[in-house]
Amino acid sequence: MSKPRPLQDLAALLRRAGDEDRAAFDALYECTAAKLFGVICRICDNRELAKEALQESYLTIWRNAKLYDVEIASPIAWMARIARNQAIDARRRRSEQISARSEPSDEDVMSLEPDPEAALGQSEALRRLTMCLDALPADRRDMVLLAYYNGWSREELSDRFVQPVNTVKTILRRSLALLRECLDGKN
Amino acid sequence: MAKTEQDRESDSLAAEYVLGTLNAAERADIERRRGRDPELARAIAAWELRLDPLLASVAAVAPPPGALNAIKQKIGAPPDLAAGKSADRAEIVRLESRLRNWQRAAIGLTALAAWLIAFVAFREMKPVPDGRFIAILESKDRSPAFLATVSVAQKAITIMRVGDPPTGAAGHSHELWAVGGDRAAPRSLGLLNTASQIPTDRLGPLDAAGLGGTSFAISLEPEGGSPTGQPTGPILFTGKLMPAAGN
Repeated sequence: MSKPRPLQDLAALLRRAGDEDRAAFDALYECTAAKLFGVICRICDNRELAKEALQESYLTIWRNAKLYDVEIASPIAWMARIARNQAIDARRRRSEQISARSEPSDEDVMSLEPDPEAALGQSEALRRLTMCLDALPADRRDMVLLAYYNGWSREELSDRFVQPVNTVKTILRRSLALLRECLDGKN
Repeated sequence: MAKTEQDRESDSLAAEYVLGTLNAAERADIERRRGRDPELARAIAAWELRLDPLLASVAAVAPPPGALNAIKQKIGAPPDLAAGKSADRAEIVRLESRLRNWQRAAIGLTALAAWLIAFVAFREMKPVPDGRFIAILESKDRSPAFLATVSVAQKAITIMRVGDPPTGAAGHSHELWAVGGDRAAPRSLGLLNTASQIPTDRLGPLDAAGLGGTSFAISLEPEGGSPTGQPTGPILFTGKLMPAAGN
């Protein structure tokens, strides 16, 4: 895996892609596709679906590169958000099409822990977020992480945690409110 | 800071949207509303910032080969070149498109086929009493579909699927042919769906004379195989027979 380029580089590549510079777009892809595909593969367990989501993500990035604002997010975070949204949309579409939810596998829970290699260089922001997540009861923390990393819906969480869908919704909202308090500081 | 009930609901929805737990209809609704509801848009942006750090801990996964080319195809050809009229421009466009085709062909290979090619010796056919020959059968768009291995020792041709299965039309069979070499006409080796191992009898002598210049082809035939002994349907996959490394 090639080392990610420095952030400023990515921002410059994004800006040039916004001006329809195809070489810059290619370079942007080379630097970021593995990361984005990693994000997508956690959410889309089907390889074909994941590949489609990756392609849709980069088409969106190409079309919206002009809108990227360094004030809103780092380039990689901005791109990863696009990839995550594409992957979640694809996952929802498919599960609603076949109207059958795949049985959540144990692997999903086991893979919740952050990638150790990436965690080595973990940012202050990630440390703080992890601390706040760890302050939640373990099953609620797992619910939040299964949703964020693996794209689980309320319904899928309801199956796994054997709780009615509405209870899952209430639990999620309470957990998120606590998370927000912990991260933003109490008012 | 007192929050209205509406603000709280808006923030909860934004949080669940960013977390990803909403269903397709709710997600579409949020995406429609965020453009004209600044409060909602702000709430979404704030939640994205709060949860972004988690993305840093997701492990990278090598993207599928060919994905970039598929994306570039959807983006389309550069307009400045496509609109060019001068001879030079036209030549550049031609070269670019040939390069793209070539790249597509190269990238279209699956990892397995690429790995195999790396182990194939591109050299003169030699008589190899116990060697192996392989052919990677590709579709017209150059994506590999089958790997055929000829084992001289076992006198057998093994067919293995490496790509997506061919779209099977009901009531049809896939037939394997040997073409080229000193054969005047394609020679049927057998049907794909009846046996994964096909005896080499019909391939002819397993030496330089028999195998040199031979290609394999798979055609779509009526159920049970070609009624005429020659391919009657479209040729779906072709590949050149080559000595495998280690011979």
